[in-house]
Amino acid sequence: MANDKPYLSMQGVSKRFHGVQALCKVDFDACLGQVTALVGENGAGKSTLIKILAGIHKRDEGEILLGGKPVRIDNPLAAMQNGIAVIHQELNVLPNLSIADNIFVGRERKKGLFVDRDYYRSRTTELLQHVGLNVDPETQARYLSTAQKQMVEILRSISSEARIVVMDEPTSSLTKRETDVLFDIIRSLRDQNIGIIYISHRLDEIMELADRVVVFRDGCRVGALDREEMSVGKIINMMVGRDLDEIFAKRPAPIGNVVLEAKNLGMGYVRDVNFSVRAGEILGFAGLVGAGRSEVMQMIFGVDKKETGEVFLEGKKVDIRCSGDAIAAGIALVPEDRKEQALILGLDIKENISLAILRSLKAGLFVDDQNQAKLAERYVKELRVVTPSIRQKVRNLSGGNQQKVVIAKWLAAKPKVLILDEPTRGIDVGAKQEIYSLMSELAAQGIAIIMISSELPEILGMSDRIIVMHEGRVKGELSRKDATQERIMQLAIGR
Amino acid sequence: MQRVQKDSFIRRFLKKKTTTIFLVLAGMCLVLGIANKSFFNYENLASVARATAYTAILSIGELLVILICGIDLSVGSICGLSAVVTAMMLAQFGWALFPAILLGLIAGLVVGVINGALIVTMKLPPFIATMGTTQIINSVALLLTNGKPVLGLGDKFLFIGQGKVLYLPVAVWILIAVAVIASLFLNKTVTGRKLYALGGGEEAARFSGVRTNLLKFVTYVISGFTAAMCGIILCARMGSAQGSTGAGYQMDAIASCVIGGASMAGGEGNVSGTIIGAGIMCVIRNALVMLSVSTYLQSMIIGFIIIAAVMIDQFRRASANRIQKAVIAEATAERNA
Repeated sequence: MANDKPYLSMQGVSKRFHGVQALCKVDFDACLGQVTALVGENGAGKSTLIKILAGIHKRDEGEILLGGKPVRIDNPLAAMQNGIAVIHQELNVLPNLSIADNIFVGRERKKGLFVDRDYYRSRTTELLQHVGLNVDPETQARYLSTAQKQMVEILRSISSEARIVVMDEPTSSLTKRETDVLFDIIRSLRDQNIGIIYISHRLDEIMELADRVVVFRDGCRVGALDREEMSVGKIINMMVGRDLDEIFAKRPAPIGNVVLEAKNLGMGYVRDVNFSVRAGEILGFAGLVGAGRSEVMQMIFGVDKKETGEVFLEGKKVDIRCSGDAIAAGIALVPEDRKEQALILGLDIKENISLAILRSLKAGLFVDDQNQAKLAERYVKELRVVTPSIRQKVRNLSGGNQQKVVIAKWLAAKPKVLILDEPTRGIDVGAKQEIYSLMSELAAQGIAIIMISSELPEILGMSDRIIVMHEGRVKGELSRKDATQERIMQLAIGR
Repeated sequence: MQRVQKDSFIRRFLKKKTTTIFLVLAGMCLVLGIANKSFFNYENLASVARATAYTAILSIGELLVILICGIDLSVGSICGLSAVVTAMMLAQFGWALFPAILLGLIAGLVVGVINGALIVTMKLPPFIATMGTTQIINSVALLLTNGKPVLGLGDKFLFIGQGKVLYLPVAVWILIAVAVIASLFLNKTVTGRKLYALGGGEEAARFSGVRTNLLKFVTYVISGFTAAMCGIILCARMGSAQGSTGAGYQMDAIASCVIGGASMAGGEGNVSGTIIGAGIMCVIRNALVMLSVSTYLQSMIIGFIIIAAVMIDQFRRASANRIQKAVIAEATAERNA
């Protein structure tokens, strides 16, 4: 079935942003009837390439060929008209419209003056049946689950008769079952001679699905592997260009007494969560997205209300009702969503770093600007935040530097327990490495660290002990030496 | 590197938004003074300053609400209610000056508490909640007075709105006090800094130990209080109170904040800008009268100015962001090199 001649071919594509080379003369091609995986660390240039293909970014140089003919793709509409459909990581489903309207938005079909509703309804029903989704086409999209919304996007691309369908991290918020359904659909699209470009950092998925994998690193194409040559080890090696031990700078630290203990925590579907963490220890929390890990931490930190359970700090019960109580008790949380939950993007570095401990920076009645500045200068230097000054708005910093500002804010509060929720999401390899070595250092200073991560190499590389959650409950606990990718995954999917 | 600096020369000047709009205000005054010499007349200047003062007091309360990404439409009607309450106590119940004013201020606080409760506890959108209270408060003020103006307030009270101390209208002194307290509060106190954080990102503020609900509530209460101050000064200036006193002033308040550089998206804005914004509004009104421009044209011109101010601000913001990004890219490149 597979067509050996590439249908889509991008040649010598380059792109610079504000003086940073995001893509450097890369080639990329994809055949019809094949799944071509595109992998690379964050910041490798995958998304930039896809956005160029989708007409969102303009390329600085290079060419795009479809079926051997050069095409101009200057805007998203042109991409659509050329048969390229992109399903972005942030789904573009309009929550206030019905499924049918979502599928036909931008390609409205009229009967006389008005929209042809009968056609919408019958065609949408047909499409929905095709993917085994039995819902009314007039259902508003807001009532759909993430997986179902994604289906709607896929259906939109099918109905627009796309030849190339690009999926950017489609499984990042799906359960195992939903992922299986998605994979079946991807295979059926492939068998209908549609070319799939599949972007993911989950290598097990790529091993399962891809006919070919193309690897990017630091804005360049490193190489490609065909199905027969593919192995997880080879792909990782190409992606990072160095050995894993080098990245995870975990140094053994003396492990002390229990600092934080949670007993019977519960809220909603999260039930009976018990665990403890010791000084100097890095405790990893693994599990699938939606396993309830973030909820547990948010209960401990007081931003979510717990229904049951107690938290003990150094043996004493603490009553935490809001995040202010938690901060006072010595608990800090670097939340999952950096832009929404962690940073005030419109304020500068100085304000962000001092936000949690403003009260202690007072001189008399007022907050002292000098105190704030001193604090910020110190942490900017210590954590090596790249910025021209501490008066820079954090909105303009790169992901890695933003994350350092968040960590600085919490280090300033001198926590006994530091909780990190997906600490390296969306930041480049270099910054990742710095954050890992910082974590080691903090553990060595006797801080108890809890790290939630969905990236198994990170969990395995950094944790002294690993707790795995599944559907709101603790499913198991593994020591550093017993933990393997397979054992964690088994616990995570509830087996 | 050369280019970035060349670019920023004019723009860096524009970046200081308070300077820019101060220059606009000064320019306007100058042009107006040349066009009509009596603008610089002491009496005229005092009257413009007085109008600026009560508009600015109202706007500073509104600014706090806008900073946290909210809106308070009820400030105009609170002016009316407080004016009526104070005036009735003075004229009809024969209360002394101080308790009458205090009750007027309390009336404003109460409406602020109601707004805060509706928005924070009942989770109503601020626009809707305060639009509702506006209508209710309006009605209350009209019912209290039976639609008739309240007169006979006494000279001592009128002094607040008409008198002068050290060549400056009393209202201006009150504004100075309010402005100093408000800018110290916003820039220097823990609560003030947290207010900016809350406006910049509610979730992130909550995750940083800010008690967001309490802070929002307090903000609406303060806004109610400053509106009451404005209403009482206004009443003393006119020498009478009516249910309709201050009607529509919420729009002037919002416009002053926006002209002064506040962002309706929250987290941006300052007291000095807001006062200058109020000044610009009042000078334009005065100018239109002095140059005997048709009253029908007045709101059109004010409308144009609001739109122009926001457009300039958008441009300034976009270019400031561009410059910052370029500077960071440079820092990154230097470090990598």
